[in-house]
Amino acid sequence: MRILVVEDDPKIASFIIKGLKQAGYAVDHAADGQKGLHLALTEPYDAAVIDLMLPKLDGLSLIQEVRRQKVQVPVIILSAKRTVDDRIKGLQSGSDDYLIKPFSFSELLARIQALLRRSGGAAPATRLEVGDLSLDLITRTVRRGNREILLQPREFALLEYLLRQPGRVVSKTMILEHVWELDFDPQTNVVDVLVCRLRNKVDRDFEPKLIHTIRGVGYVLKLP
Amino acid sequence: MSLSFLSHLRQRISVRLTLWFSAIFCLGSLAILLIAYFSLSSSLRQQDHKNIRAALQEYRAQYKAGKLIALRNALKFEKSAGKPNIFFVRVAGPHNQTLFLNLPDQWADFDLSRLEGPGQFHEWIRLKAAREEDVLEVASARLPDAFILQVGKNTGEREELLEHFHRVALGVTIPVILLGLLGGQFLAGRALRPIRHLIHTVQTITATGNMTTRASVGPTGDELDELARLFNQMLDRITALMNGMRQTLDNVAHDLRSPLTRLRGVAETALQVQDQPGACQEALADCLEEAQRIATLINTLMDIAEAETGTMRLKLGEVNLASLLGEVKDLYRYVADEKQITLSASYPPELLVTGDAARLRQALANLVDNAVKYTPTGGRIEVSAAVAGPWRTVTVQDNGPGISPEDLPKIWDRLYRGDKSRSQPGLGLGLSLVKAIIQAHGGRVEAASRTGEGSRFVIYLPA
Repeated sequence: MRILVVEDDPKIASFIIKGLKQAGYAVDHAADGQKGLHLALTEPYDAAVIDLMLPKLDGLSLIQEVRRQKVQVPVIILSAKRTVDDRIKGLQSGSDDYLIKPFSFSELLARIQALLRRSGGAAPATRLEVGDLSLDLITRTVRRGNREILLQPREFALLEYLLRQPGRVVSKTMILEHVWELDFDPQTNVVDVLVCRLRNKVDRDFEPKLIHTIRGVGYVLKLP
Repeated sequence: MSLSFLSHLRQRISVRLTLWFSAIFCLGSLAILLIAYFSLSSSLRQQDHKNIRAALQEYRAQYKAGKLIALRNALKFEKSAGKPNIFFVRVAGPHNQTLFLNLPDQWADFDLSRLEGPGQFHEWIRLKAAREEDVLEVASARLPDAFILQVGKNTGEREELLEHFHRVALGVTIPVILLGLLGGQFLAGRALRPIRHLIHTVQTITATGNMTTRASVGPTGDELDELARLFNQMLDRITALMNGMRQTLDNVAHDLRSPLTRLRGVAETALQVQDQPGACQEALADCLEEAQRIATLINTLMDIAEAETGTMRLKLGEVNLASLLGEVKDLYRYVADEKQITLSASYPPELLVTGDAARLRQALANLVDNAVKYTPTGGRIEVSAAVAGPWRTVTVQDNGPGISPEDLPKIWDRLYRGDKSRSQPGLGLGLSLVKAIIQAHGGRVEAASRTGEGSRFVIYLPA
């Protein structure tokens, strides 16, 4: 898997590149829009991470040009702009996802992986499993071992979301987006409370624990 | 350089106005002079012709009565009677050969031979003197015996008068042009004075950055005064926006210092701990959390600033408050459960307002968030919505500790946190954001509270 990173800030670029390489991806880096466009048009990439504010050619124009040339690489926009309008403009230009600075690397990685899976076109699963925890999407039942666990709708949605990214950290923002479809951050930790409830139901009376907190970043569901 | 100066000069509206005005003024004066000249000259000529024709009639009658003798006698009699002999009289034979000629002495030498010859019979003939400027105008008539009678008059005086008029007209041309230019300049200067004031004001503001300067508004209320007034209004608005922005910037800088200090502190402490890798991990996680808080703080402050300065772009549409309340209740259900707070909601199935659904959801969520945060375990929160005249209201009532009367007016302020709430996590921005969003929608917010009994927050949105 090969990923293009177009980002002019050397520190941000280096931490993205380092992280992606550690995650096992081959990474090319362009520090300005023109070089980024050239690479995107000439090299086959599986995904591209593109900053909006770039020297020589801005990110939106870059993505529009790439799409105009019928290159269908999945694109994640990085931006310091936060308004809904900017987000919509970004997505309309042909990008697939939008991440606002400052962001956590885990979140970027999770979003890249989600894009790669989406573009890979795997058959939609009807059953999600990690260890002895399983979730049936058709009957909407959850079992741990041979005990059935009753979940409320939001708890179910959260567990489904976590099970779809086993081993990957998901941030609070991602949970808010996927479970409640919210685009703002409520001041009270509604996410923490929901995770806590879910934990009580699927983890408290069982071993090993599956839902783990990564402080300052988010949560991950995995076998220890 | 002089060329560019000229073209620059031509571009100036005052110069153009002056030139236009003086051009119109000069052309007008010229036209008046021309008309006067032509009407004067034509009326003088008509007068001369009338006199000549009258004399012609008279002499013709005399000729009819007694032929040439009678005419000659009449002329002699006129001369001896002291009547100024002012007419030229000529009698010619059928072939236009001169038979009799009476030419006043003082008249200059005219080329009378031009009158002779068979082809020279015309009703009116003009003869110019050889040297002087005199002009002889001659009227001719056929006599009954086929002789020709011609009577003329020296119209040099008339020409002289017109010549004089000419000189006077030429003489006033330069003063007229000067007057036109001066008048044009005066008028242009007067008309453009408000514009010059405006330009001066703008130049002052641009040069000094002093936004308190205002253009002077004249008393007439004409278009230029209106322009100056609107310009001042625009300056007021810009100043207000600038002050708002500056205030926000100051506040943001101030508000960022505390979390940044905490961030620094955690990192510094961790650096000094040498041999505990666990402590370092802990500190890094703290740093991450603090960074997240700073990001949230910046976002919220920006939202408030945008809403307060009126630059928040609202995606207006028809919004059902009932469904927003449903979503918000769903969002805080588990949090309320945790604190064993009864979160109840009562509202009609449809309560429509025009607004930005995402922003209104955020405002309602913050209001409920605030109530959940400050209501103690086992408390009760009631959310309700209703129609009140032109308003749609949402009320959030809790039975928490309430807000003291001195704190009550301050709760909407940015970063204000009452003494009791300092122990709670939060930014102190929730209610200011609620207020800013609701006001951006043209609504208002109200809070009432009794210490020990609870608080009630009401938002009013226009339908």
